[in-house]
Amino acid sequence: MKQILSDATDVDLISSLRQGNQHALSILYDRYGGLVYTLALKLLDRRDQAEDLTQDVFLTFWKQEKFDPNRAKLSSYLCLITRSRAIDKLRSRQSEQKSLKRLQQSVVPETDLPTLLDSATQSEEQIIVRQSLSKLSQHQRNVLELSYYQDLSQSAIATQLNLPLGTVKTHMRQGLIRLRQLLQSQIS
Amino acid sequence: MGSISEAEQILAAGYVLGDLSESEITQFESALVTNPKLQAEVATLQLAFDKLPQGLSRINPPPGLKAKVLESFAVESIID
Repeated sequence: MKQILSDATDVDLISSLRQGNQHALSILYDRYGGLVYTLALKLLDRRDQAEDLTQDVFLTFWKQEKFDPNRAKLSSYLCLITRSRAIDKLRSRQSEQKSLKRLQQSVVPETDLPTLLDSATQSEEQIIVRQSLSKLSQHQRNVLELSYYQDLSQSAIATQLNLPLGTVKTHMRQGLIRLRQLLQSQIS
Repeated sequence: MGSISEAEQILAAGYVLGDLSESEITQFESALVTNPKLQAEVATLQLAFDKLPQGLSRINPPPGLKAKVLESFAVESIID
């Protein structure tokens, strides 16, 4: 069997993993285990469940035929399924279906997918996302995080923050647009 | 992406965040089908939203977890 090096690309590692190579899984875990566990713990707030979910994600993500590592960044895909499964655990099946629907509703032509921070390493990406988030207003950051980590609807967020629904909607939309601009400006 | 109006951009953000009304969705999607720039806008906003967890301070998984993952993988491979 061909020797896999720890600096192999994600694409090569997934391909080896799909052929049953355990060492490829070991390298991918070293690369992304921290990210998946951190997100799982943030969402589930229980160590035992975060461990189970991390294990589940690493044992299954590469089996999804829908996932093509040439077209989507692995870190993003891992976050997407970790979040979707955590939310599923937290509140029945409704939310998972919503997230999956989002994945499938791809109206974008497959040949021309835009990318964001595709060549950034994990640590570069962490710095860029943090810097970008720090440039949003407190309200913008707050509402986006409540939506992402607690999967709250805008009206639930409005209640929680004691803000008018219209204000929450504006903060969230403007925050997302600004975040997109900030992330994009880091690339060029 | 110069040819997208500010109004369209805001609708695109609302679409990604799932806060549009039924009629706004219908209207937006009919514009989406014929406008590649709008499609790219939606996809990029979605990517930006999905980046949020990358900014979290990493918490190291418990040391034994990696061994557990690799062991389960080996057991599954034998069964398959």
